[in-house]
Formats: sequence, C-alpha cells, structure tokens
Amino acid sequence: MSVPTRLRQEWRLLSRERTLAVLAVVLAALVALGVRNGSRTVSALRSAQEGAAAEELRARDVLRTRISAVAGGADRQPDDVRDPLRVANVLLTPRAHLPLLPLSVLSLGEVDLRSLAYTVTLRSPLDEGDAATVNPTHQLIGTLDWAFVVVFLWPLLLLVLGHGLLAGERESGTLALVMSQPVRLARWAAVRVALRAAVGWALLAVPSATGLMLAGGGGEPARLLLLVLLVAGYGAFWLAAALAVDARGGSRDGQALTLAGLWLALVLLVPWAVNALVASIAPVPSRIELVRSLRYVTAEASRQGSELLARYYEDHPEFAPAQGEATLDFASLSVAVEEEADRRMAPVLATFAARRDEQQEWVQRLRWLSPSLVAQAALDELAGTDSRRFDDFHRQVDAFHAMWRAHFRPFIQRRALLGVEDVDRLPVFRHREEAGNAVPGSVAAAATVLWGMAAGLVLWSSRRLRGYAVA
Amino acid sequence: MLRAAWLVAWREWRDLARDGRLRAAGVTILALLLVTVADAARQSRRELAERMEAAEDARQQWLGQGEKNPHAAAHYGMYVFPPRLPLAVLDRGVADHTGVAVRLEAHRQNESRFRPAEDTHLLRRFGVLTPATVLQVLVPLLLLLMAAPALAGERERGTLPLVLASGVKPEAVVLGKALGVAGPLGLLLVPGAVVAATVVLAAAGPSWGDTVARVCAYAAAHALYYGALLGMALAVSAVARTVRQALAVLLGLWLVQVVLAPRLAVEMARSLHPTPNARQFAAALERDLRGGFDGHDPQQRRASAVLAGLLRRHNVQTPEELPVNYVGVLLDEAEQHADRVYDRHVGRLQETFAAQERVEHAVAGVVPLLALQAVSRALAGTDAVQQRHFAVAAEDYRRTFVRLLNADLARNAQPGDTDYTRGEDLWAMVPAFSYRPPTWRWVLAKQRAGAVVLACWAAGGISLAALIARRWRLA
Repeated sequence: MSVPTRLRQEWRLLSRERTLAVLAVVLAALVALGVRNGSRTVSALRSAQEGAAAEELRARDVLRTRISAVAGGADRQPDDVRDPLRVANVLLTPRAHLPLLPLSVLSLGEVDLRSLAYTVTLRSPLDEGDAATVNPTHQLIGTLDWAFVVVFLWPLLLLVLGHGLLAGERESGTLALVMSQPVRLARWAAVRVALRAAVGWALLAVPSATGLMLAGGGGEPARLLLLVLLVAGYGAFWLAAALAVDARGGSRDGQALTLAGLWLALVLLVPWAVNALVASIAPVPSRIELVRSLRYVTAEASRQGSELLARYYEDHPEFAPAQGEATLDFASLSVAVEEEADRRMAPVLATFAARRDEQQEWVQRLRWLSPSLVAQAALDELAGTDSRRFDDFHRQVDAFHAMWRAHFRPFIQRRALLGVEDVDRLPVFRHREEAGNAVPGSVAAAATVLWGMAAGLVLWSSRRLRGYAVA
Repeated sequence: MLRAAWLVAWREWRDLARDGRLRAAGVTILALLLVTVADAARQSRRELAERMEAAEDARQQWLGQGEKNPHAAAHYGMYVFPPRLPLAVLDRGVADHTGVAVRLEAHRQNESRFRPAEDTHLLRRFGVLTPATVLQVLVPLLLLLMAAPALAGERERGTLPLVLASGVKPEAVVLGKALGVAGPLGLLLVPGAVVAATVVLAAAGPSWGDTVARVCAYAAAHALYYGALLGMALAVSAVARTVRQALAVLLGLWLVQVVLAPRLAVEMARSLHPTPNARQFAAALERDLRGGFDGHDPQQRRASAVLAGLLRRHNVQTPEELPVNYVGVLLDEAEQHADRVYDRHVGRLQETFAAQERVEHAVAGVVPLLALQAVSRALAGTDAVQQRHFAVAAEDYRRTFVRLLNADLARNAQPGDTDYTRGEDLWAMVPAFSYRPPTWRWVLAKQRAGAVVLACWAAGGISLAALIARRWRLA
C-alpha cells in the first residue's frame, strides 16, 4: 500500500472522529481567547506608555515656556519653576518604561506581576514603581494567554490524537490484517503519527496565525521562525511520547491513563517539585528581614538629617519663612540624606538581589526536567516578558536614576536655578535591548532539546516496534 | 440494604487494595500532604517570629526617632506587617502577591510592598504545591480515578445485571460503591487531616477558639466538595458504557475545573469589570492630589482659602496673630484632601475588585472547585477580602496618628516658629498598631454563597446517584 493511500485512509478515519471535531473547535476558541487577551493587555499597556511619553514631552515644553516667562528674574520666588528640586521631583519626572515586543501578545509572562514603568525622581528608587491595579487573586490564578493554551492544553489534544494507535488496532483485530500486507509496522505507525502531527499542528497554527495577524502582532521573521520551531518541537515531543507508550504495549485504556499521568507529571508535578527544590536549595532571604534592614539604614541616615534639619520643616519648605538660603540649604541637605540612605541600602539590596539571582539560575538549570518548563521559558523569552528582561530593565532604571540625581546635584549644591537651555539637556531614559541579544541562542537551544527528546523517543519506539506483537 | 451495601463496599475495598497503582498514588498523596504541611508549618513559624520582631522593632524605631518637628515624624512614618493566621499553613492564597509590609506615612496611602511573588519566575505560572493544592487538585483526581470504574467496570464485565438480579437493591449497590471509594479515601485523608489540624492548632495561640472553628469549617467544606465529586463520579460511572468513557469524562471534568475554569473566570471578570492600568491609575491620582478634584482647586488656591478662612474666623489680619499655628492647620487640610482623593480612587479600584469577585462567585455556581478555593483562602485568612480588611485598618491607623501629629503642631507651635520640635513624649501618644483579624463568623458570612454552592453540589451529587439507582430499579 502506498504512502498516499495510507494517508487517505488515515484521514478518513480521523475525519470521522466526532470527539476530535469538538476538541478542535474548543482549541480554536481558546487560542482566539488567548490571543485576544494578550492583544488587549498589550494594547492597553502600549497606549499608556505612548501617552506617558507624549505627556513627558508636553511637560518639557510647558516647563520651557514657564521658565522663559520668568526669564531675567534672578531672585528665587516661592514655588519657583526654576527650582532644581522642584523640577526633578515634581514638574518633570521622566517615565522609564519597558517596551513591549510584538510577540508579547502571545505570552504575557510576568507582565501582570512586575512593574513595566517607573517614575524617576530624586527620591529613593524603591518608592517609584507603579502601584498594582491587578486583582491579587487574578495574579495568583494567572492569565489565559496563548502560551497557556499551547503549554497546558495543546498537549492534551495531541495525546488524544496520538494515543493507542497500535493498541486500538490490535484490540479490534485489524492490526494483524494490516500487517499481513507487505507493510512495515514502524513505517505504518510513522505515517499515522505524521498525519496526526500535521492535523494537530494545523489545529493550533491556523487559529494562531489568524489571531496574530488580526492582533497586529508578528515582529522579526527570525523570532517567528524560532517560535514555529519551538512550538513544533514541543508538539513533536508529546506525539513521540504517545508513540513510545504505544510501542511499549499494553491496552489502549491503560495507555490513556499512562499518558494522562505523564501530562500530570510533566505539566504540574515536576514544576511543583522543581519549585520546592529551588526554594530549598536557594531560598530568597526573608522580605521581612529585608524591610527591617532597609528601615534601619534609612532611619540612621534620616536621624543624621534630622539632627541637621531639626530647625527646618523637613518636607515642606514652602511653609518655611522666605529665607532663600535656608530653603536651599534644606534642599541640598535633604538630597544628601536621600543619597546617604540609598548608599547604605545598596549593600543590603545587593545581597538580596544576589540571592534572588542565584535562585533564578537554579530555575534555569532545572527547567530542563520538564518540556513544559522549557517551552514556557522559551515563549516568555521570545515575547520579551521573561524575568531576565525585567531584571535588566530594573538595572537600567537604577542606572538612569543615578544619572538623574547626578545631573541635578550640581544645581542643588551650587544653589543655582535652571534655565531654558538646561531643560533641553535633561537626561531622557532610553531602554537598551541587552538581555534580548541572548534570546535567539537560548530559544534555539530549547527548540533543539525538545526536538532531540522527540527524536530520542521516536528512535526508541522504532526499536521496540521490531518485536511488537501484532495480535 | 445496609448489609448489602457493606458487602459491596467490602468488595470494592478489596479490589482497590489490590490495585498497586492506586495504592501507590494514595501513599504518594498522603506523603505529599504531610511534607507540604511540615514545610509550610516551618515557614510559618519562622515568619511569625520575624513579624513579631519586626513589629516590635518598628515600634521602638518610632519611639526612638529623636527630637523633630511633628510633621517630620509623620513623614518618617512606620511599617506595619499583615498577620498570617494559623490556617495560612494550609493555603497561602494571595499572601505572596500582597506584600509583607505597608509603609504608613503622611500624605500617601501606600499599598503593601515587598511581595514574594516578585521573585517570580516561570515556575509560579505552574502553581505552587501547598497542602491546599494536594487537597483540592490531587485528592479529587484520586477520587475520580477510584470512582470511575466503580459502576462502569461492573457493566463492562457484565456483573452488574447479575448483582441486581441477586436481589441487591440498586440503592445498596450505589451506596456500597460510594462507601467503597469514601472508605479508603478517608483512611488516607484522616491521618493527614489530623496532623494538619494539630499543626494549625499548635500555632493558634490566644485565638484558639476561632482557629478551631475555622479548621472545622475547612474540613466541612472539603468534605462537601468530595461528596459532590463522588456523587457526580458515580453518576457518570453508572451512565457510561465503558470504564474508558467514564474516565475520559471525569478526567475532562477535572481538567476543566482545575486548569481551565479558574482562568476563564478571571478573564470573564476582567472583561466585565476592567481595572485601569497602573499608569492611568497613577496619573488620575496624581492629577487629583495636585490639582484638586477636576482641576478646579489647586493646592495653592486651597491653601490660600484655608488661611483666609482662619484669619476671618479669628478676626486677625496676619497669620502671626492667629492663636493657632496655621501651618499645622494647612497640613491637616492637605491631609484630608489627600484622604478624600485616595478614598475616591482606591475605593473605586476596590469596588472593581469586589465586582470581579462577584462574577467569579457566580461562575463558582457551576464550577464547585472555584467555590471551594474561595472558601479555603477565606478561612486561611489569605484571600483578597481579608488583605483589604487589613489595609483599611492600617489606613485608619495612619490617618489617626498623622492627625494627632498635625493637631499638636497646630495647637502648640507658635506662629512662625520653625524650630518647634517634639520628642518621645508625643511619639508615645500614638498607640502601637494593633490589628484584630476578622472572626470566623465574619469570614463565613462573606463566603455564604460559596458555602451554599458546595452544599448544593454535595446534595446534587448524592441526589443524582440516588436517581441513577432508581432508574435501574425502574428499568
């Protein structure tokens, strides 16, 4: 029997499976929902970022105009718009935001949990993240995005498609009939699995591509190609696993239970176990201890500031008498207190960050224990919503914060007022894509491992099939 | 009938005991339950000690902050720490997402910060293994695997008609099968539950009575859920033509409940009641704080209006002639304005969260696991409602101590006196922050709907199984 004939027969069998039709519709609906959720979230975030950027430009123009209006007035006025402390903390506070990549509509990653934007002032960077407006219960449960459908649910469809192909034929007695023809079992099985792989892929790819086009997502062709290879590799693993269980023998019902157990193990139990292991090997220090340490060091810095500033209103110079020198002295001293507090906090935060980084490294090492972890991590990387990119963004914000302070310090210490030309020289935050440079290599490695696992299972299966009992 | 049911149950127990896979699964689940309880208890003991020390530290830092202007002390502020109830050992709920500390200071209503979920890595997407996960995800799976072949297996083997023909009533068969599953499951769960309850009660301290009530309610909620599942599983098993069919349906139901339904409920809630994104929220808040509501009364104008009112009231011409320190009065006015702004914006956000939760409660009507999870988090004190309860208490405390400090400034500082300072005598007048978590009655009142859903599902499951039995009799 030729391959095309076998394929046609297989297609006829498949198209009669009503369960498959129902699952296909459900999958398509969930894919559409996942892409829609991702697209809606990303659109709202991008719109907010664009609005904030436009607002910042407008604020600069307004500041230029207001400073020009005061031009020539050498004396400091109450609420003077040229006051460097006021400009840096109130009038012109730049927003540092993390740009969202085109594929972020597919995998929202840590978007719900981490800050995508910071307002930069002279105050401590710890105070500058955006408030969370996502219901904490929703953060706990997680988002239904496209990546969730692919990682958690698509394997179930593939297992339904691919399970018990040989066992079912054997139990119904047709396998012996088929093998009575000049057909090699392994090739016959391969044709069946290949067609089901194509169907499984099409059931995901068609609604996904449609959804992505409608959502305006896409991006670089290289990343799209990696996405295809990665997801196809993930699907190949699950079908290969179904084939391996079939090649091992046993009843069709027993195999279904085994595959259900495999899904449970790889998608839920292994990640849980890895989580527990990582928390045990590399626990992050207590956050309560962190709060106590930070509070202690800032209290010390503040106490020194209080001794110096006990004569002034610490936080409301506008209520102090109109003594220009006293107000400006307060400004430089308060900035000095903030910087001293941050300097003392730095080692505490660095220790904490180092322990967190160590935990992240363990997660990266142990993710190879589950193809679901591999796939999810790679999808987040391609979408630019993974931990590394957020951590890198955070470091860039810290660096910009230091730059913002360093820019204003001379003005404050010299007790100088800003001019129009100074507004144009103010630093602007520009995100640099550094973490992203390693993504293609990392994702390619993940795809290679998934394909490798699939190939390994297929090879093992083909060897087992040599001694397979057809009756 | 009862004797017949016991015989059926005994046979079921024997068959289950012979199934090595189910035995292994059961032992594994018990082991997981014990390990997760032990780990959570250890973590909880450590956190409790840390919180107590941190709260004491915060109080000493407040008292020992030295001489300063009272409003400077209001800005110095303090940290308060949300408590963890003993039952949080079983279900961490949203605790990792709502932060371990709240900074209380003048002019700002801060949210709780330093969230453990910020250590987030991709593993969190897959969930965390806790005692609640074992009880709400793995135990139900085992129950379904045990119950699926109960009646369908008899039909497949052809033994069901023989059993019914021997005079055993269908009700006895169904009851016997139910006991046949519930018995081993109980054997598995009771030791685990006793250990868990002991660990929780050992940490109860002075709230022993409240904790006992919560533990009993927790056990009851899970028992209702298992009862509902058992009824449904037996009904499916009775109707399915083969064991395979029964397993497919039941595993599908489990998958929908555990994996899909929670996220679908979240998306439905978000679609119907969207929250503003962080930027929109911050911008609106900032606009109203600085510009006054709707931009009609900016801070300077408001300050001038307050000062003018004071001068008129005391019939003087200059601030220096006032019998009060107008700076203190202005600070209090600014504080009240900020409070109104936060009440408006944060209040609207919290209302949206509450509306989202109502949607999720409605979905829980058809997905009983969602009801169980909500009740579990509520009893553990780790749901969003109780986090908000703490946040409100912390905010009330903040407003009280800031007003006290501003009032001292207004009353006692001389007009124009920029050197006015106070010390520990004033700081000690601010009472230590003391928070009483809501009682179990309050919690259950909030979770009425969830409790009713579970009870209805349990009754429905049992009724369905009884109906199936009656159908055999009539057939």
